Amino acid sequence: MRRKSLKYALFMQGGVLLLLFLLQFFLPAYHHSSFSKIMILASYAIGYNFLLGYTGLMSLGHAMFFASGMYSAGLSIFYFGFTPLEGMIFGTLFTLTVSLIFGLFALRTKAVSFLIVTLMFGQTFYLAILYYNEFTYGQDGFSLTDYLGTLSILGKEYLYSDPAIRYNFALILLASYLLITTLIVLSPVGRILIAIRENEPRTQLLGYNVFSYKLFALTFSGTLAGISGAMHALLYSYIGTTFAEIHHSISPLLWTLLGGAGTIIGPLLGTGIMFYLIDFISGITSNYLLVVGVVLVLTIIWFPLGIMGTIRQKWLKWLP
Amino acid sequence: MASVELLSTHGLSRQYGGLTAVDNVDFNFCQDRIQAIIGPNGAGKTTLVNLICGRVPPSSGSIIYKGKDISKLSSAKRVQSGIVYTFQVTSIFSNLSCYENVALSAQRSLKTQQGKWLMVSETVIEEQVFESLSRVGLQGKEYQTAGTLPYGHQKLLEVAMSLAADPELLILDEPTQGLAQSEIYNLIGLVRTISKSVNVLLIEHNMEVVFNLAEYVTVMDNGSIMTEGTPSEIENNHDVQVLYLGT
Ligand SMILES: Nc1ncnc2c1ncn2[C@@H]1O[C@H](COP(=O)(O)OP(=O)(O)OP(=O)(O)O)[C@@H](O)[C@H]1O
Ligand SMILES: [Mg+2]
Repeated sequence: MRRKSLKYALFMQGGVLLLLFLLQFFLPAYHHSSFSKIMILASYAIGYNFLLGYTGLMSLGHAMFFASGMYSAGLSIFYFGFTPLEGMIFGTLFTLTVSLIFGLFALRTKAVSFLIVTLMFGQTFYLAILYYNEFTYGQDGFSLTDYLGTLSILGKEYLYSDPAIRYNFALILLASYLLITTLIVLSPVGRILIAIRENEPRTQLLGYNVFSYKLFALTFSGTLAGISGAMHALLYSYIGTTFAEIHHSISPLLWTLLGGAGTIIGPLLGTGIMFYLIDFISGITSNYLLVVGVVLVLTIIWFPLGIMGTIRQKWLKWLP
Repeated sequence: MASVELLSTHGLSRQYGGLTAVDNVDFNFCQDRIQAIIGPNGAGKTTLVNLICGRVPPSSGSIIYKGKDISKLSSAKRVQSGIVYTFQVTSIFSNLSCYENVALSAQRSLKTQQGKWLMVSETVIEEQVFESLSRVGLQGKEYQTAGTLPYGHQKLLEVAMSLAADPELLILDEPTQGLAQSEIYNLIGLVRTISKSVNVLLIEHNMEVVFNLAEYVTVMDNGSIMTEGTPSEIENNHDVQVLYLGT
């Protein structure tokens, strides 16, 4: 079953990625740029889903991890003159540390208390960025345009914000997230995480140290969010507090629920649909948050398993 | 008592509010035999074994297992050291297949055997899972969702999970509850086979099962041990007769 799941899943994901790769040659500029954005945000959602969908921990503070990666990469490039690669590595390690320390505290709580703790820490992080505005440029944020330099590929120089670079970097990020989460979910470790989601006390009584597995899941999920944030900083050359705000924590939850929590490909689908839906609605009304709310409620009522979750239940039992 | 002590409790108590569910119990389990605990509903049997496997912390007292005080160990550590508990009220992973349920248990015991940092191969896990499921008579049910099994079979699944955990001391809490008569006979046979290599502590209401299997019986009432002895001693004990027949 597992081997079959792995084989089928890799084929399916490979197909999706190939399609995304080829689409860049056909998409009109506007959609080309939308797809880049969707792929970055979807990577963030895939990391979020690792925690929510596979370990059963709901967080409302993931913007903290995204912003932590974004700011640590961005600030280190801005102030210390790190190269983009060094910034990425620093951002990754910094977020890994942040999520590990956060997990050590937050995972002492469960369910709703955990949700509230993540929310509180997320808000604290956001307010801290505003408070230290001399250093972080607060609400306005700052640009990295003059600090990134260019990227040389096969003797040609590209800007990080070059559309083709953006698209393909986002695609590589997405591909690696899909691959690594699929491998973990279908490994013995993934089995234990799912067990924790399904019945935590029983998992403990099977002889597993539940706390350390949850800590791993949280740290991993937070770090994935952080890498997405750092990547976003490079490709868009902009660092700002919108990425630390509460709505940026709610978004991956929504994308995941819509696409299907506990399915690997679901968050990608959810992110894409919501992105275009909001894009469409905001052309009509400025109150797109209302639409977001309505979609969330309808999803929970009609598709409690999300799109891919429902498809798995009905047809594709092997879907990881 | 010639045999060696495997586990003992000393002055073990557990209070729930004003109620003392387990009251200053000194219980001994000797190696290489099937022991049983019997007693009326609410006697404290489940609470006692919950204390032993670490599901609930004691209010006072200590538990010695193979010469070591395990009272402070987490329940996970106790499972790793071989104390495996089969739930009275089933606590399986109802949304997962029987295969996954047992695999979770097998994976852990294989890891304990093979060392922490090795990844256990799925082929080895699979072998264990199929063996454990067929030992309890659930072969062919591997890919059925556990929650859709009839209650009796869920209890057998619990037993399969415990077997896959490679127990040294297997605690079975009312395993025959909800089973049909023919399944009970199978289970008696199974427990007898298991007991050749594993120490079994059986908690049962079904006297037929107890007297069929146990070599030593502890009777609990009101949180304390009322009497202990061989099955025939217990059968002929006047107080036990009063307790059970109410005369
Ligand atoms: N979590 C709990 N909270 C409060 N009281 C409890 C709890 N667990 C058990 N009790 C009480 O402790 C006493 C002993 O219960 P226990 O389940 O150990 O009995 P038992 O001998 O296993 O009974 P049965 O034969 O019905 O399984 C009962 O009076 C029960 O109501
Ligand atoms: Mg009981």
